[in-house]
Amino acid sequence: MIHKGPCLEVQNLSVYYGEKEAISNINLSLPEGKIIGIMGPNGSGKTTLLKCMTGLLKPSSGNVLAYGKPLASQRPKISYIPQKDQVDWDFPMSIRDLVQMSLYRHLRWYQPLSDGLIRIADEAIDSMGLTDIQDTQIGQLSGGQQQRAFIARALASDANILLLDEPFTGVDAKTTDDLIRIFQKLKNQGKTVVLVHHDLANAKSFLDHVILLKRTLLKSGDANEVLNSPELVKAYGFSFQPCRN
Amino acid sequence: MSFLLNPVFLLVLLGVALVTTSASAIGCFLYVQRNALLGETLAHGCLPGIYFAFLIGGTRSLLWLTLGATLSGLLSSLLVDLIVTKTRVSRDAAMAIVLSSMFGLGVVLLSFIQQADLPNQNGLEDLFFGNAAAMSREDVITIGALSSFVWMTLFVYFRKIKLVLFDSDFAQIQGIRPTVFRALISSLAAVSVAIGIQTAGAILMAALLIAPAATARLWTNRLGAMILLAIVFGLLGGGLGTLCSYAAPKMPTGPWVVVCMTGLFCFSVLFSRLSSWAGSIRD
Repeated sequence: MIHKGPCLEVQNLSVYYGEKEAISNINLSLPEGKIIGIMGPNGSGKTTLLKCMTGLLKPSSGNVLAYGKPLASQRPKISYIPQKDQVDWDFPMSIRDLVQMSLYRHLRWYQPLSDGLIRIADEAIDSMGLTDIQDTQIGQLSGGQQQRAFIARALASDANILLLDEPFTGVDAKTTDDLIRIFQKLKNQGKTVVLVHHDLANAKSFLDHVILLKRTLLKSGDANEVLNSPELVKAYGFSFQPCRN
Repeated sequence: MSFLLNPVFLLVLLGVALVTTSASAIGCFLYVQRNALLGETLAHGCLPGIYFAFLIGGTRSLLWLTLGATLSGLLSSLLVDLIVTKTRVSRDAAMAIVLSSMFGLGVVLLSFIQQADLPNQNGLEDLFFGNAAAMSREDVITIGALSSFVWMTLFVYFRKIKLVLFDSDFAQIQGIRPTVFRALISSLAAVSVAIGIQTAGAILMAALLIAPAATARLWTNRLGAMILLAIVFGLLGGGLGTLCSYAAPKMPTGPWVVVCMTGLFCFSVLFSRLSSWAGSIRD
């Protein structure tokens, strides 16, 4: 059955860390098959919202639905790609190990990976252009290759929604462009890409939808509309006009 | 070299091999978890449990003492976590406080046992540096059973443990509970330490966990291969150490095992430096 509604719905979501309010009373619906940016100044609750969407963080109140159902029942459809500095890059693991890791849930402890599962992992690695270096230890990869390896893991797990926490942190301009092209390719395949994003300068060029946060939801909608709205001034304290060359 | 066919020597060799295999395997998980000092905390922390178990049971049965050691080691680990979460004390300081105080408590309990002149207490003082030569057949059977338990558990849960240790967020999204598997690793490490106390002693046991893992990491970038190599290095170090201790009479086995494992580590460091130097010259 094809789901025609939003892929993710956030309802009355609030998160408190002790007494401190991180995000308050957020309501939003995310369209399927789009590149969606969660934006806002530092401390506005972007990562908190993203973690609630993954199910990693239990909200103080409210809930998140994926394809109209509770998040817990839709786990295989969602994949989370952590911030670069949260990964132990010295871990003894190759790209192939990393990608095959997403297929473990199909196996009992005594079962080796079947030919079919190995093919799924190989295809995901190939789609990210990593076949030639698939046996390389993850710490020996460049920043872009590391991000692509994690995206390959998400693809192998057959996730429809990819949640990424600041994927452009610590990567150069060329890698940023490469990653944007990959996100657009994923969008064309029908995947939804949700990412925490900081850079107002390139946001309009590739985001379809923007969620603007400052502890509460300031605005959510079409990227052009949100990034030209007065709420942007409310969020950052200034209006933003990208340089024209 | 006539001792090579001596049944006592062979029994000790088997006991040391069983201790080192489980210690080397679980040591790899502690190593990749960046929690190598947990071995030190568990080893020092298990002493009061051993002596307390002796005071309650009045027996030196290895199984009974291992139970006390495991519980006491885990209590030490929990105490460290409690101090870190409830106070502003950092983890390394919490470990230093807990392991030295538990070791001190162990010494106090041993002094009490010795002064009370309780029966069956011979050998309890050997647990600081270990006395593998005193291993009985029953001890080796107990070590074998517990070592196999550690092995089987690691084998069954290998994939889930690997997921949790590398990316606990991803594991959680896959429906795995990271806290359960972290507790499992600590418990298996505590059992591995407890069965090795008689071999290497509380002071040196941590080396049996970490030295083979650190050595293996220098040779491979795959976790599965790292575990297999760590076991090979553990067995080599354990075997060579036992041989040395028997070849030089009145030398304790545990320290020799640690010295041999350190030798293998040094050789591996040297080899990896030389090979990367040779590689840079070739390029």
